[in-house]
Amino acid sequence: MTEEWRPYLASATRLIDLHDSGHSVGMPAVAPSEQRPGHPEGLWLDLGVQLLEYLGERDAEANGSWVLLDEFCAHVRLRYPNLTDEDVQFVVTTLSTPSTLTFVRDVPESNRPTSYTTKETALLERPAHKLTDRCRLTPTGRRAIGLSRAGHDWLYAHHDAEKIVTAIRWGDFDQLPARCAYVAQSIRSFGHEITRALERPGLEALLQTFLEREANYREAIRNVQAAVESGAELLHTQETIQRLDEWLSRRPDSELSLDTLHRSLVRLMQSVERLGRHFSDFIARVTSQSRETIGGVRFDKLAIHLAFKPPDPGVISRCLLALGPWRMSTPFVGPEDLTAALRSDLNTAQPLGLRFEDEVLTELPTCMERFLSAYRDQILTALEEGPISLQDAIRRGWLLLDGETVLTQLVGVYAAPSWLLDNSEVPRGQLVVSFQRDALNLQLNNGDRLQGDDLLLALVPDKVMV
Amino acid sequence: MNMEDMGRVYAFLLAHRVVETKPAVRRLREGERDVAAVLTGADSEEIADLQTFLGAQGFTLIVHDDTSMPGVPTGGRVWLLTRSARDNPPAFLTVDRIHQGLKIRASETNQTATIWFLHIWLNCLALLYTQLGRGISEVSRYQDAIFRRPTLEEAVKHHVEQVRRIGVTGGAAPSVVQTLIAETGRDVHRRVGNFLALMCDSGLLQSIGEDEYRQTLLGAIEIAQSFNHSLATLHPGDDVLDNIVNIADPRVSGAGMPSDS
Repeated sequence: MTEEWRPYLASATRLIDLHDSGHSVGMPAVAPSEQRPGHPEGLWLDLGVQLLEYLGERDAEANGSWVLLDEFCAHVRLRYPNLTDEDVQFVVTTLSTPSTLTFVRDVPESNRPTSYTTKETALLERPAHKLTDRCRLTPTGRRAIGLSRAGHDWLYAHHDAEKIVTAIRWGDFDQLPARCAYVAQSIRSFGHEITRALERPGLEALLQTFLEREANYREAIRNVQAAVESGAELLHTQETIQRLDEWLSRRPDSELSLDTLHRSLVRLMQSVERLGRHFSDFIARVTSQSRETIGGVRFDKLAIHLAFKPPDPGVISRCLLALGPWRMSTPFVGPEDLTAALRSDLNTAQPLGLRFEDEVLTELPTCMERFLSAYRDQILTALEEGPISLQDAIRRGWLLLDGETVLTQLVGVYAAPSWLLDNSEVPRGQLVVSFQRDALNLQLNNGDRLQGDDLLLALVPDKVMV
Repeated sequence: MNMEDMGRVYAFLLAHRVVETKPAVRRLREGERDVAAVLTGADSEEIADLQTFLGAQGFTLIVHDDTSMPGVPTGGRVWLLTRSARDNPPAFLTVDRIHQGLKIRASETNQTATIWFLHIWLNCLALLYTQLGRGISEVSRYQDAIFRRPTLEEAVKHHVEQVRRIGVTGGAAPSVVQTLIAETGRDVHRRVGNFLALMCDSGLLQSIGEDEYRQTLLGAIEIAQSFNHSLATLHPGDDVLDNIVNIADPRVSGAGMPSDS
């Protein structure tokens, strides 16, 4: 429950600290104290939030009447068996005691800001005759609940987008750029939030929440889009254009125009569209199996480890090729590079047209066929003596064919052993493939390294097949 | 996007690896505006074609905008050419500049340069990730990954000092010990300077002020994409790293060579 209030409280905490800092003008800057004498398990905050939520629910039914606290006290005892009614009273007393906050406001036609105070900080109130068994929300308390909802997430952003339409309808044109900027900022914040959720390890619960509420989020995006579109339509009605002209004629210094307002809305629409795409991509990645997050790595200790066990030069080379600073090794030749290097008196006589013997080309054996004709018999003979792992096969030299590496073809035999069975012969048994976990670790001559699970191919006589 | 456009985009990406509509902390490069206009005007099918073309060479084209990635200016877009994690890098790609970049004496070998690069690089990554408590996949925190050159120099000197303390007798490899402890005077200063110039030139780091450097979005994406297929293979496992305890302070019990157990 407290979690829903986190954005609201977290955003106000340091401002209240600043208000209460007691810092004197001109004194050296010091960091605020981190000694917050709160309950280490957040007990009182939780109780306060529970009470506000409870009163908020009751307020909808009671319509401003006093709410008895006995039901709430019973609920608290279930949640925290050790607490007493007196503890609840402590929370009610704290939330219903007004505190004074001092603000500063600008005074028209004066350069000096003026301070003023407010005591409208009590979230609850009790009856005047001091009955302690009941209380109700103050307007400030209702606002606090509303703010905690609005600050919760992006699902409520369309309310802000609708204010754009209202500002146009009421002719508050000077508010429009700021309202558009606010919605655009909300869009970016939400976009960044889902980006972070994808990247950070350990946020599975949050991702699950996004998945469960996917339809709500999509609806929120559609609502914002619809609000911005209707704002753009409204801006171009004859009535609005006329009103804007009148508004501008009264403010000759204003930098606003129909064009600038239109551009603000167009940019906002593009922003919503980008968010829609980003959200779709986000959902696709959350639901796909390929998403992987990687946590922290102690690179300083890894550097020490590599002083003990320096990696093989081939492995370092692979790491640097993957992540190090690279450049192109082969410069592409441009025509200007060949100027004066080529003979210009080329023979202009037409050479005879080349003839291609397509029929012959199609009859050339494929690489797999060449591989099988070279190694099939050797492999089958070896299989009769026992299973062969991929590592064994490479060591036996079956990786090379006419000087070329044929790893694809060799692995292909493990992927589809039926290649080995010659239809002209009676099958000698069943070919079975399995794997040995982490058994493969082989350095190839070309510098590549094969590492991971090893493949195992075995010829099992039919009679022992289960 | 016709073939001419594609050629122009391809050439620009190979040369600079990044195209931005509104670069946040640098000026537009020559031709970048035109290339960005081509990419902005391309429809999703054309971008997919370009991605296929680049993918066949071992590259990946990544696109971000202000909504998907912090640090991209409002309304801006960025396209990044990254090395594909799963495919082999293109054959025309070389890292031999590391050898030239990290050598400070004509007599030094490529092996010396590689050892220096690897150890400075890991200390740099410690500043970009470990010290920030940042996970490898947390790309969007690239803007937080800022360090000052003297900080990296100090980290490298501290690391060299640790290797010196361990020494060959403590179990360190002779090749590494001899290379790292041979440094004299301002060698580390020069090598770190060369390292930073190399990384900035490759678009993996960015100079953002006097002696101040930041990881680029390209650098962060490449690490997140390829870590598991590259540097992770050097990682011996957390239990082995746990055994490396405060080697700098030999009074601490258990300091010294880590075991594989």
